[in-house]
Amino acid sequence: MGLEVTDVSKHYGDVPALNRVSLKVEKGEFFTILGPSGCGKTTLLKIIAGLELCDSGRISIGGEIVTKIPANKRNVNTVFQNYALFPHLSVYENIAFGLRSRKFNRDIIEERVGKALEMLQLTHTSERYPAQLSGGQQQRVALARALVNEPAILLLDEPMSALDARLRSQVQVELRNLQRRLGKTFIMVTHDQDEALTVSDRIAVMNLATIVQIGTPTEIYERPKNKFVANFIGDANMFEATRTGDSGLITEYGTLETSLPIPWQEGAVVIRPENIRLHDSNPGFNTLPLKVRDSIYRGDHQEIWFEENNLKAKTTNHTLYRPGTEVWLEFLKDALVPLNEEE
Amino acid sequence: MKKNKRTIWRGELTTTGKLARRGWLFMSPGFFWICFFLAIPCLVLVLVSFCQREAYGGIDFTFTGENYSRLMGFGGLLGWTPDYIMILGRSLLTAAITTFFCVILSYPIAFFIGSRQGNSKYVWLTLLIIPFWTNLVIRTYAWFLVLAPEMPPARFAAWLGLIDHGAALYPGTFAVYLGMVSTFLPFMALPLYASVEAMDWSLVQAAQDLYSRRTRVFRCAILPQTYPGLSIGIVLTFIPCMGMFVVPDMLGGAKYMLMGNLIQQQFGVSRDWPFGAAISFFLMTITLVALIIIRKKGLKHL
Repeated sequence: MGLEVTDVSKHYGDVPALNRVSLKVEKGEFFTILGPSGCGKTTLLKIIAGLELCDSGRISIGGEIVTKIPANKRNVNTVFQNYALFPHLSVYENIAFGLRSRKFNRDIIEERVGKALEMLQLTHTSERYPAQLSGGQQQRVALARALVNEPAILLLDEPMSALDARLRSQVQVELRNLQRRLGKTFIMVTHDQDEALTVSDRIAVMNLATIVQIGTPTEIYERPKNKFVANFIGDANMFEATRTGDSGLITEYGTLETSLPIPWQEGAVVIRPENIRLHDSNPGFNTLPLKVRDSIYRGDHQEIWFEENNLKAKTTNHTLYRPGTEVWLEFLKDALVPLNEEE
Repeated sequence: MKKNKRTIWRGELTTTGKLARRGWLFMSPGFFWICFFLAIPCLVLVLVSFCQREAYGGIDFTFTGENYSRLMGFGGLLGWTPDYIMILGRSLLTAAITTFFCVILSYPIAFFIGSRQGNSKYVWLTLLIIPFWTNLVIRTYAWFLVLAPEMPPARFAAWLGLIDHGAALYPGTFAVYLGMVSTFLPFMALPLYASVEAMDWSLVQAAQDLYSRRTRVFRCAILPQTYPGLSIGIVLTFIPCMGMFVVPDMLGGAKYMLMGNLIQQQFGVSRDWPFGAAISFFLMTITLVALIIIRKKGLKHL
């Protein structure tokens, strides 16, 4: 067992930052906590790191309860949001910091720091100071400084936020590969859904101090549990529906059928834009004829809006859909997701 | 190169010559101030320090190095004496100890004020500055009252057996340090507070996260970040301390002789201006060297 968080709550004054949060992270998993700013995700990370204490609940790491153990005695290390590198120490000394705190002997420090420098391709920068490094290099120093201590869990607090967009997507892949190679438990906090989908084995979506849904990227994206998750991750067409029979839904777009279980009599359903297929003629099932209102050409796909409603579709069809074109929309049966009711 | 080149400076079309003239104009008040109130008096001081004292306290303008050799203890009636060197040593020690206590007390004060929210921060800052509104002599007299025999501190000390019953806590070393530290505390606490306000707390968290105990967190994450304020505080405390004469004179009962008192004495009762000038110049030199050292060390930290 990597990490177990049970019923953890935290308040700042009257403001709840975490409200009975529970989750389990397996050893060797890349786990992401995803949510908008102010949802409590960073607080949760700080509590796991031991930099803050929770009001109630329990934290256990590797089967050992650490709820009241301070950060300097937990076998967990953090990559901070702006890296928090010590500006007056060289790259080498920054990386050696944790080992020196724990009074390792000089040979071990030299060997381990050397390995960490090599692993993150920092060997040539070891004598430089953080201010002399690029953003990407600083991030690698922060990673090396944490990983050199061989923590049971590595925590990453918005590790990409200080990088520019182009570098970010490249670093995401590198980070994922690094985690796979080391087989270590990584827990990352982010507000960027693309980032979460790219790197994670599993994602916990947070909102308003609670965890809304935990699942693999596919589950989170394709089977969102409620409106918040559906809206926060990716694009979503959402509309009200009334159940008819076992799998029928009466909606403003006519009666549609879903292959997913419907847990209510009246509720909301969601369908991703790419799961609305466009056809020139009626394919016969779960369909609706509409006129194109507007379309945007994005190179590898087109985004299309229709007259008289707010539906949005994405297509990789080669036809160019100009305003006024008449098309048949097909709602894919296994992608029409009935949402759980909001509490 | 053309002397009067046309150029644009902050959106204004002008010439380099005009800019240079304007620069001189803006510089002149500060320049004259430093000239007339710093450079020239210092020069006079150095000049006087190489002169002789007239029988009735005037200045005899004949060159001599006697004042400096006397300061080093030579030329007395009984041969070499360490008196003045001891006074210098005592001054350095007093200044160092005062500065040390100011540092020890200022860190908690700076962090306390730094952690206050909203308006209470300004209330505490004002409380720290309020003593400056009163004259130093009056503040020092106030200590007489606080340390008087019938007041609780003296009674408590007597009860502990540290002093006789009915005795005051002044004059004495304790009273001198109390007076000195209370005088200079704001000079240390204020710059330190400014540094604490600008601190990046994520570095403190990083140090904790990397297995540091409290002392290491302080040494590696807090001290380097507060060093700018600390070094200014040390300069503002240590240097005036070296020249301080009011507090040691009053609370030390005129027995606690420091460089400041010695200088005051030469210009006052002893009427030996050349010797006073020599001591002053010597003190200034030491201070300057100390300043350079602090600056050098400070730059290394930043």
